[in-house]
Amino acid sequence: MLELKITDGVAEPIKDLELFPSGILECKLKAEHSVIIGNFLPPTPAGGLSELSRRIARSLEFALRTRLQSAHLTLNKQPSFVPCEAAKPPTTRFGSGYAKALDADAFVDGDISRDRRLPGYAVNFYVSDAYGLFSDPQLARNRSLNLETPSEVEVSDETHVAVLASIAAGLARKDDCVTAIKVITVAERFLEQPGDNPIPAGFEYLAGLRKSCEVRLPNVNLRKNTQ
Amino acid sequence: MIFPRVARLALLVLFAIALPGAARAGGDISFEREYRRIIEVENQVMAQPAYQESKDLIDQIGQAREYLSSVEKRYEEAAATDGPEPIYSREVAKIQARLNRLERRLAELTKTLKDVREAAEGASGGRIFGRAANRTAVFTYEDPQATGLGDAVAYLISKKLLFTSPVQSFAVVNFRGEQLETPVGPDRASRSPTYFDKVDLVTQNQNFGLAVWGRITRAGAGISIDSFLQVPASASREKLGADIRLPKAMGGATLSAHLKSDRVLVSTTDLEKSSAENLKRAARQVSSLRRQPKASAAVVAKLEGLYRIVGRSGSWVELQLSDGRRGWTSVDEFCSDECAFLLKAADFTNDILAQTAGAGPRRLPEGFTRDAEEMSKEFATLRLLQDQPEKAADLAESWIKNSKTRHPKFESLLALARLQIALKRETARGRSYEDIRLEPQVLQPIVDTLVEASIANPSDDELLRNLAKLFNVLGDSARADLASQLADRVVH
Repeated sequence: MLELKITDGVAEPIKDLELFPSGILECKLKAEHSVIIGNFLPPTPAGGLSELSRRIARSLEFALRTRLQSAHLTLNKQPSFVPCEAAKPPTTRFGSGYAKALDADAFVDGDISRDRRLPGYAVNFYVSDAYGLFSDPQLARNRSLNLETPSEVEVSDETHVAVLASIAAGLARKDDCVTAIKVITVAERFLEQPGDNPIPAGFEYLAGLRKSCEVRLPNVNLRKNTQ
Repeated sequence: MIFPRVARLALLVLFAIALPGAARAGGDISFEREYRRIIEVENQVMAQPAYQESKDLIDQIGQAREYLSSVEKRYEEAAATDGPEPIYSREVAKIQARLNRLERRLAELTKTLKDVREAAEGASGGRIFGRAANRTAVFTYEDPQATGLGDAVAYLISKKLLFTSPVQSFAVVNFRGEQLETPVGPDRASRSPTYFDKVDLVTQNQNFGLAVWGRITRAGAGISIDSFLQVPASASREKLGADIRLPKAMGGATLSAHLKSDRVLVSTTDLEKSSAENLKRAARQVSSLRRQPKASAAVVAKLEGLYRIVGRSGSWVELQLSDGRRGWTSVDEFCSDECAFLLKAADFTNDILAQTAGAGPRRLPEGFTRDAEEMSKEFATLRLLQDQPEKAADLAESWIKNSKTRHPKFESLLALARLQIALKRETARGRSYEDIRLEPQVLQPIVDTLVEASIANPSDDELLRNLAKLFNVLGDSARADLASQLADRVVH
């Protein structure tokens, strides 16, 4: 996809010019909120790893849909999880551009490797968002995943949190901070469990997102030092 | 063969209606049929001209209220600078009169629609075990990957709930049906309801107090079963809340707090694939009524339709079916190990039921989710709020301290507990309750906590209404109005 802007016969400078393979536009949905699951670079040899995007999309949907529903997110605000094998950014840095080009809140891709000393596969998930929430894609490492069973792939909580934060950022961008906070609350639940340890480093973006949403609510005018 | 079918149906209806108040009863009916019945009733209601008129009226009332509030604001501003202007008060009176007319008409239409709904409900079956004081529904577990376990799991949980119920006058209805196709109503053309919504619809229509359902997914080589406890909005009003009435000297308003945890993942059970067959086998065994309370006794009937408990012997219960036949069955006898772990959802639900009936909270055993623990703590805090606010404050405070993220519902409960403590302290000093007026320096920190909680959870309209009342006590009408407006805007 190439966008050029000509004003009064003069081409304006184009920032972040990126070219996308034509096949990926089929992954674009008309849904208000969507998360695109792109290609996962397989190990060599790839073995029996097929349809990983679809399986990961399904796993995310199973894990997050019900949680979002339990927070009373209305149907039109709930995200669609779209597998898109054709989406192969040259490097993970391009993920954000893919999310924007596909009108999605987030773009998830990754790579798979195999350590013969461990059972299963090691999978790196990269979550990019369309709104500049993450300066670099959020990396979540999942060790020892069983990818050979076609029914299910387990996705780590770090990935869930980053995807939810991207969806919340999309809602906040549309001035719906009330719903964004519901989604942030669902993401925070992943950080609550298990154990008594404090929230691990790397999730400051979630607290920042909450704060940026809270200050935009009319409820802040209820504070004593306002009005 | 029409007569036997009609006679059987009549027996079922008679059984459901004539159930004695203190009995424990159960039923297994089709989720799909019940859901379709409700949609048909709703379609009949929505086809009425009164339905569209009432929707238009609700819009008009909303607009009139907004206009009224803007005129009142202008009036206040004008009064502050130039003194009261009669033009504004005349305008306010005019809008108020129109608002009253619209609201009267809406009340008439609401009554008409209620009558239509009741007539349609009556013609299509109505409530199951409507006389039981405690009614719980168990829905077939959502089974998107077709494990074939949805009905078996719900069946076992519904029977465990019934057989070990801690309360009298209790009914459990098990809604069966693996694949629920969703019929589309006139208002639902563009959206397909979620399982939560379907459960909500049936639960609210039938006025169940609690609902249990879940979801089964394949996880690697095994199966994962999530169990949810759902509290319908209609049910949480009476038994699952607490009120604090302010003294007359503080305006006499009532502050309310109700259970906010209403869709809770109670437990997750991971099973080996081989255990799946054991679950189905256990469900089949439980559904066989035996002549005596032992596994080797002859099977005399199948447990289906409507039934009630008429006897007990250890973990065995004797059931009477609606056609009069009797037999014995047990869940614990046939559902052990991993199967028994699955039944924790029933234990948790019965624990909540016991608390609604006045039992004290108990420490949750291992194996429940943090969400379940949170719900249990929230409910315990609510139960203590009125009479033991110090304990309620301790519970809320310890939950907040032990959490890594914000928990506005506990912050709100803590503020209300502190308010109640302050009121109690004044009473202990010998002051008449109605004459108590807390000093602003006591009230303001409580209000500040509630404000911060409302910012952390702007969807809590009950909290905002409490705030509006407290701002009125503080004489801050601007913030009281803002809190009311924000509460009105909350969409559920």
